[in-house]
Amino acid sequence: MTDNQFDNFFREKLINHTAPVPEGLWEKIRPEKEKRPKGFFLRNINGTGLLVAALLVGSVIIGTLTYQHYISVPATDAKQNIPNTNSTNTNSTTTNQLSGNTSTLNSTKSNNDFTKDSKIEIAKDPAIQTLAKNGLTPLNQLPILKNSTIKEPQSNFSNAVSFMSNELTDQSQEKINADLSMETMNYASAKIQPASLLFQPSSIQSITGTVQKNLDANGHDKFIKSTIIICPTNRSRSDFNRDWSFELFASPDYSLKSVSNVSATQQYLDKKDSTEQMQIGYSAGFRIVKPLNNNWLLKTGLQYSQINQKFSYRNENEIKTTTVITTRSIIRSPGDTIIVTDTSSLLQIGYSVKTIRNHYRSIDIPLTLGYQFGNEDLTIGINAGVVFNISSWYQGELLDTSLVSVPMSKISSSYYRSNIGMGLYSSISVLKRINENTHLFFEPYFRYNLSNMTNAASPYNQRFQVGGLAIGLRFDLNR
Amino acid sequence: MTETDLIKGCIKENAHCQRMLFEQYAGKMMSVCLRYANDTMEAEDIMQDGFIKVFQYLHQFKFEGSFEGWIRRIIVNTAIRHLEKKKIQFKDIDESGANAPKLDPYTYSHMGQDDLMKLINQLPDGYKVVFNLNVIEGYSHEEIAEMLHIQPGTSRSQLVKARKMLQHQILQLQKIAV
Repeated sequence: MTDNQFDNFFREKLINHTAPVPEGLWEKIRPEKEKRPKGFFLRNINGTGLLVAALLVGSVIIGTLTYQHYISVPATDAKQNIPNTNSTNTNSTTTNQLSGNTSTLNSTKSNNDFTKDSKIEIAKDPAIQTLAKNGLTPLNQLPILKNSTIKEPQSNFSNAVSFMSNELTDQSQEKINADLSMETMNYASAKIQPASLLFQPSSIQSITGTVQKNLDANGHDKFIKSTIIICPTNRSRSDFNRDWSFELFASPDYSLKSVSNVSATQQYLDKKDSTEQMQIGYSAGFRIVKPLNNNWLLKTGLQYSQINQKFSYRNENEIKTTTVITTRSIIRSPGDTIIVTDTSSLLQIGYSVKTIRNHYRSIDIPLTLGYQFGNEDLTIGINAGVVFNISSWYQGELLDTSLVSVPMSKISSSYYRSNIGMGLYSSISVLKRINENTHLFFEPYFRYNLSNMTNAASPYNQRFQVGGLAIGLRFDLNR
Repeated sequence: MTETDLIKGCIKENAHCQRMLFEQYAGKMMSVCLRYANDTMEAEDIMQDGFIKVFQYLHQFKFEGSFEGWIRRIIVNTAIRHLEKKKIQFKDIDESGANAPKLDPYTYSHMGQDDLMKLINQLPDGYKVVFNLNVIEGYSHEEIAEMLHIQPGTSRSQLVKARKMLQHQILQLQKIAV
């Protein structure tokens, strides 16, 4: 054998030899530009992402325009609740005189046969005087009529007003002294209804029309819209929203890990970083939504979050012993066969790769304030608030400072805190009504934890920032 | 996707192409690294540094000659730089028997790639580097001398001794097998 033959043998055997590539090597090699986080929401933006962004922006603009249109259009529903009396009571005139402690309502010169010069004295009530001084003459003065004097009591109108005033004075007086809230108005209106049974339909129209005209003449349209409406109100115009909503949601999450050194070696941090790889986690929970008015709402609830992490650790100098038993037959002479059994052990030295999924779990209470706008079908909201951590724990394995993999659990996690305190939360929500009381919503969010998840004993500081897309249902209660 | 498209994609920093290129050549290059390194950890370090240089200098590739050869040169140079840090010594090891043993090809023809890798890895650093560079990679002694900052004669003698040591080891294995 020549040296060339020997060399050629080695070259031919090894020139195309391949060896297994260690797991995770690409993560260390891939160019820095690819590794650098571009931010959660801007990651992998392509044509589809731009289209979604354009749709989102378009929705916001349409929602805003719809909302503005909604504001500029008068509350037609509210007005429709008050019959237009011009057609039936064309000649009626109303004057309103305030003198000292007495307010006089003249409802005269009507073509109707039951109204002539009826004069009603209004109660000497400070609250009413205040309203009167402010130029307000709401319909709800009717329930507090007191000591009314009717100059020509023979008319149906006078009888009706007299009955109504007597019926309502006692009960409404106390309420008026307390305040003039909507509850009082509604209560009064509820009491009016039995009285109104005495009215002819045409007379009801006449009264309402007269008062309406009076109020319109004084420019109290706004006040009417909010208080005078005794028929079912337009909910969206009320100042205080009594609705409650309940949200159920789940979200895929992506976490960004940030680690800073305290007392560890750079080698340890590098090794730790190379063994851990963030993966998709999730959150799920429920929230109770309390609208403060048409736009502002408060949310709180309970949520569970799980951050997943892949831990790959290579254990060097792994020794594997295999026992090999070889059986041979030796023929010594014809007919004489001996079976020989050799036992040997094969020692293989290599490495083993251990892959474990670490889980960082937490239970939190979010508390957010949101502003939402849009129409009944599509609503867009912006939310911001805080997240209070109740409990958090880390389970899995991690490298300790001697580069050995050690297990950790809820009980034995010596480096990690069981409560990470408070975090900041912000989100944008898009709600689409899917039936009378249910909305489907999508809410991209970002959570920024203010504190480290590690404690003082840890050789490094670590915290997770979480982004996700909550998808859920909002159920309107109290409708 | 052709190799040219792949390279152009990598030059344009297309992440998908970079990943594909790595996966295409990682196995062979890891084998190269293992032949020069003393253990897998060191081989991994060489591999990491080598591929970072590949992506860093890819725009300098002229599309002339074998692309695999170009990558291999970078990996080998990286391995040599790593070995230089350890200050490898090209010492002569005194062995009994001045002449190399006569080996028939059938004595080692059955040996597999992994067996040969183990044999090479058992060589002293100086022998191993020269044997790899000359026999496997095909560099001349003058080129090796320039790369390792040694005399061409040193390279030749290291190769002869490496070859002799390998043949001895093969003979030893043969005796154990019998």
